[in-house]
Amino acid sequence: MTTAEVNGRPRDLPEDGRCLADWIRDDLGLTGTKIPCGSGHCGGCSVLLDGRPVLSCSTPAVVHEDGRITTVEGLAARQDPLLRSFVEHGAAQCGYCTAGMLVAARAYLDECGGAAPDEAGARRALSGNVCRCTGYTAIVAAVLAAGRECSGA
Amino acid sequence: MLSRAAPRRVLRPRSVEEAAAVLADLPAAEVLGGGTVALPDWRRRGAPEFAVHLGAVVEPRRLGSRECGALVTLDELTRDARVPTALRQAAASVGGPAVRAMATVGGNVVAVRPGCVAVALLAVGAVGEGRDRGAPGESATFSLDDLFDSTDRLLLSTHWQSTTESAFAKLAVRSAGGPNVVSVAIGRTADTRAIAIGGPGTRPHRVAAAESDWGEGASAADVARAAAVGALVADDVTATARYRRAAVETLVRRLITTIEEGG
Repeated sequence: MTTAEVNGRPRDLPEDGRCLADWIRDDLGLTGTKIPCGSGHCGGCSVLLDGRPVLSCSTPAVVHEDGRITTVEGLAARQDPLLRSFVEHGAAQCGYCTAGMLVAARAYLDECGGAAPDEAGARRALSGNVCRCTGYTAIVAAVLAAGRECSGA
Repeated sequence: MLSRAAPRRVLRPRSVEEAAAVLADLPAAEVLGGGTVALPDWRRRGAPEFAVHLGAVVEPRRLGSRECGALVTLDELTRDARVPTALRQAAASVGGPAVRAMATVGGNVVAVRPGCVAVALLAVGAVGEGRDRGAPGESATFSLDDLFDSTDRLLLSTHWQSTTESAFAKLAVRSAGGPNVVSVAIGRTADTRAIAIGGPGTRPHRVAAAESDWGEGASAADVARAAAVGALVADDVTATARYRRAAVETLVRRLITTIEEGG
């Protein structure tokens, strides 16, 4: 049996070819990750794999032996400032895209490496994530505010 | 038999030889690179019983000034200054960061609907190298056209001329992941000119008459008009063929002007 680390815990990977999103939701019970489109177009199923955002609907779980996977529950467990910032800025409306937005935003802030983020960079980082409520202005504001908090700017 | 939601088993060969042998033994098995094309496709039409994931094979990961392995991700392609400009621009135009982190050059070429990187590879005169599933022990060279929508070949790498000046542009409904209207790439060496077109409803293709005009010194506007006439474009819900031709003309004119002005 091969394993991957999910939110800091080793987990047995499935032997069949189910996608990462199905394994995370159905076997691990981590239903924070959504599968809004299931076709790789909306970014809503994004999780972090070794620190990079990937679409969990578009990759089989079984190939990620020894991978480090972080879901939105992992961000919540470490009290990521992004979550509070999303609440404070009203950055979630229906909430369907929120987990993917948070994960993509975390990858972007990590890529900034402690420097203050900028709006163009944040928008590029979130360009693959679709919000069906079109709440992008508040989402970008929340990411920039969390980034400023993390960088101390 | 394609009724299952996911493959019963995903095989993970450790070498090219092992991968080629597995694919020869299991003719219905499907090759899996990054998964961004295959998994959504399986969700629509059903998954094969076996899939062959190439992630553990090292050779198709090489990237250099004249070579790009089939397993190089589009994100890696965008970040490597050694590869022709058109390839980097095409890779950067595909999806968002999460797609580019997984999607591979090989998947973009052999897909049922070859993508933007395939268009750029045509413009730099690339060829593919790999194995034929019918002769798994022998290396083979393929034209890109032979690889588009191909299930009987294992693409391992693409190669091109190192001196190609090139550029790529795309018109899409939205910047990441939205429906594509048309993709255009051009390439120029001392002796050759290439103009490649792609988009929904058409295989990536070159427009020979426009390339010939460009090589004979015609103006960018005249070459662009010839490219629009020669482009094989389709009507669909995103755009009419007439609109796509207009987009081809505009993009080709801009790209040629960019290259000829040294930009």
